[in-house]
Amino acid sequence: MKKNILKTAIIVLLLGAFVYMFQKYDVGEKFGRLFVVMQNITHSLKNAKPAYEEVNLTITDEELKDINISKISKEIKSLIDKRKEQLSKAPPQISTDEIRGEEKPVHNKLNVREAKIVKLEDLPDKFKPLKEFLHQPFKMGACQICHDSNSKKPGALVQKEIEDVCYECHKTRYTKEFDHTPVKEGRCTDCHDPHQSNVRMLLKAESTNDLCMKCHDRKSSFGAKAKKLFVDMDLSTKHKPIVEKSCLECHDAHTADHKSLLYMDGKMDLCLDCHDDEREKIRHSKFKHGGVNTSEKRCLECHNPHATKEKKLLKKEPVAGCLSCHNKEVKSDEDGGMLMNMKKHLDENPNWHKPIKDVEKEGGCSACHDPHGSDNFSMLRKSFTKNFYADLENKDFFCFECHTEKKITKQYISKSSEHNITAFRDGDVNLHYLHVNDRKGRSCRACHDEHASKYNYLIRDYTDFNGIKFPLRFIESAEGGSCAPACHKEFAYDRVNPKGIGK
Amino acid sequence: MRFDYIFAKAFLVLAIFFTAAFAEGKFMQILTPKQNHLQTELTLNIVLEVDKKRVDTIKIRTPLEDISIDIKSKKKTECKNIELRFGENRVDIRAYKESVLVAQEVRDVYVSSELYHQFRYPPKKYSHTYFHNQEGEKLCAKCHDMSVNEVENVAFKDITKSNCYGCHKSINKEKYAHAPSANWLCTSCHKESKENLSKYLTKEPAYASCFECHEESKETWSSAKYRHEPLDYGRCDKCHNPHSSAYPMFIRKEVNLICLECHKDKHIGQNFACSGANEGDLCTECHTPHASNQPFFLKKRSKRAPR
Repeated sequence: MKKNILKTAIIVLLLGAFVYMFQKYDVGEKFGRLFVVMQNITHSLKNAKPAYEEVNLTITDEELKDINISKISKEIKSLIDKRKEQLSKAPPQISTDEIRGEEKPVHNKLNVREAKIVKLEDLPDKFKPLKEFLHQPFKMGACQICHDSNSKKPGALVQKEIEDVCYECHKTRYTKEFDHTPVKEGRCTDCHDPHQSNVRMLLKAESTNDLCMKCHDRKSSFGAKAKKLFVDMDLSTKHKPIVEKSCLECHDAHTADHKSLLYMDGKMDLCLDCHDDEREKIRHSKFKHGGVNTSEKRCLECHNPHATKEKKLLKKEPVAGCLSCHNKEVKSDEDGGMLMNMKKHLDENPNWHKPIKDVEKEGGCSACHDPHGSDNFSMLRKSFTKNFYADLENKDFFCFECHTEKKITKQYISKSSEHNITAFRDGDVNLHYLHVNDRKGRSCRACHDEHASKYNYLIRDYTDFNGIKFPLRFIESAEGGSCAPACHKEFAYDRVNPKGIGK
Repeated sequence: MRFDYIFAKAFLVLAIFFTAAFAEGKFMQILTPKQNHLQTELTLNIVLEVDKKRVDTIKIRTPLEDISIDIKSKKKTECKNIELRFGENRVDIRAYKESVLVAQEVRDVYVSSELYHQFRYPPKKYSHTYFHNQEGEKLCAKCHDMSVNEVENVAFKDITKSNCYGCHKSINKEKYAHAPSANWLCTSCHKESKENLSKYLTKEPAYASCFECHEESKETWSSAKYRHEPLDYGRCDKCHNPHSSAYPMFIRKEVNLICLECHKDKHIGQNFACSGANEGDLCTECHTPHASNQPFFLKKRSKRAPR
């Protein structure tokens, strides 16, 4: 009995261990996987062929006809050839005349009537060819091209009007929009001598300019009549092309598509054709002058193209000229805001910034502003800030072009020789340094007005802080002064007897 | 018998009092403040109407000072600015004629403060009473110009010309004054009006007014990862006095003390909450008080994390 019990106990234990092992090591699952692998191997051994069905892929002849591969390949080939041909060809050369689309005038020399050729020696003294340039028929002695030999009147013309006589050979009639008045009225001989002249183009004067000035002078009878058309060439500053070359640099003597017989639009395009540097500024700078870019007369708003009293061909004196527009609030092209009434500002405040005060020496408004445009706001020639606060250490401000940087960088000014650096001192302590060289350094404009002020040192009446105007309440004393702005309560400073600011 | 006696005595006293008060008008009447007045500023305007024939001196006793006013001017009313302290203030106003007390009145005024815990919640009996409404301004309009005479966005050159200056000048007496306040551009913030309440309320919460000018701060703070709680709730005026203060940046107390008003457990040297700080260091040397991208409002990322 005991043995039986032992046996059964051992069997039960072994069974239990087996079941435990079976579960712990997932024997069943492992066997399952082995079974699947074996199944796959046997399957692949049995069926070596692929499982998918074979499909008949041959194409019938009919189908081939439909596709017509050869035709397609030909088409493609021809296209490629075409492209190659195009590429191999040199770019088409077009002559400048073709671009202009104008025909060159052809002088019809054969249209000469049965003319008697007169030998030059036989001509009367009056018509002897003594000058440098001769009219071709005159040189040839073919007087009959123009003159009627049958007429009893000496010197009678073939045609009634002079212009008809000229146009018989000079066939290019003037068909553009604007004609020079003598051209329009057929008075060719007003300017040209039909026989001979010492000047090219058989002109009736010493030079081209002289010829023009015969009429277009203020003193001439014509200039007095037509006020707009005279040119005052007696003035000190003259436009270079007129002096060095001639009027014809800009004007056409006969006919033109643009007003005033100009080659291009005279308000700006013609000017910028030569003035390259200004063209860049005017067309491409970030901040543009409304006076040039959006005004009615463009360049001519400020400049006279011929001659003026002022430098740079300006119509008016530098500052006065600017103030002739800036005598009211003008809309700014920069941000659409209104620019201040500068004339009023200057009239009200007697202390002016030196460039405005001493125009001759410093250059007026254009000392700081570039009237043609600039990449800096307000068309300043160099960078500046609009802000109340500015990190002056890292910025290259325009002010320091004239004013020494020591004004703000020197903390103490102890030597008497350096005392002229700044008057804003409390004894030796440089108060500029205190205001500026800080984490929140103030910009120059926080306290100083760039244009004009009632107070000395161009101290502002009001400073703009976040859109609020705060008075600085600056009071100057004999050796110092005091301020009571919004930033602090009233502080006084004295250059001789320091009040102890900044200590 | 005894009860009758007390009653009779009380009746007698009352009868005397009433006859004194109504027979020839009052000796003295307080126009402002009203009883149980609640305010946040530490100065109080007292306006009295005094019978000049029967009163020659007024004595005002506050918890901070004793003031004596000799009545000489011909004006019917007397105005006086007095100093108060935070919490409950009993203002005792007495009228004398030839050093004999003729009238006495008492006003309880509470000055509450966002900053100080103990004064944040005033007892229920106190309530805000506003002066600058039609009714209130009528009282002063005889002597004072009650209109606003400031030009928008242009400060006074002479601040004493501001119509607000006369009564409120003590508001800017401290060393550091906020620019709009020091220049008496009061309506740049006090521009909200509610009918029958006040013409010159401010926007709620306070930062709506502050950020009108301090735009840059608004941008940098609103984009920061962590913000100081008072800032998030718009209570700039909790730490800053928008008018004037004895401390820079117009904070209401010294830097460390103002922080400890709320962060009571962080006392340097007591329980060393800040492991790197020594006695005498300023909290703001390491922490920014407004907003930061680093945890604990640290100015820079700390290599050694605080415990």
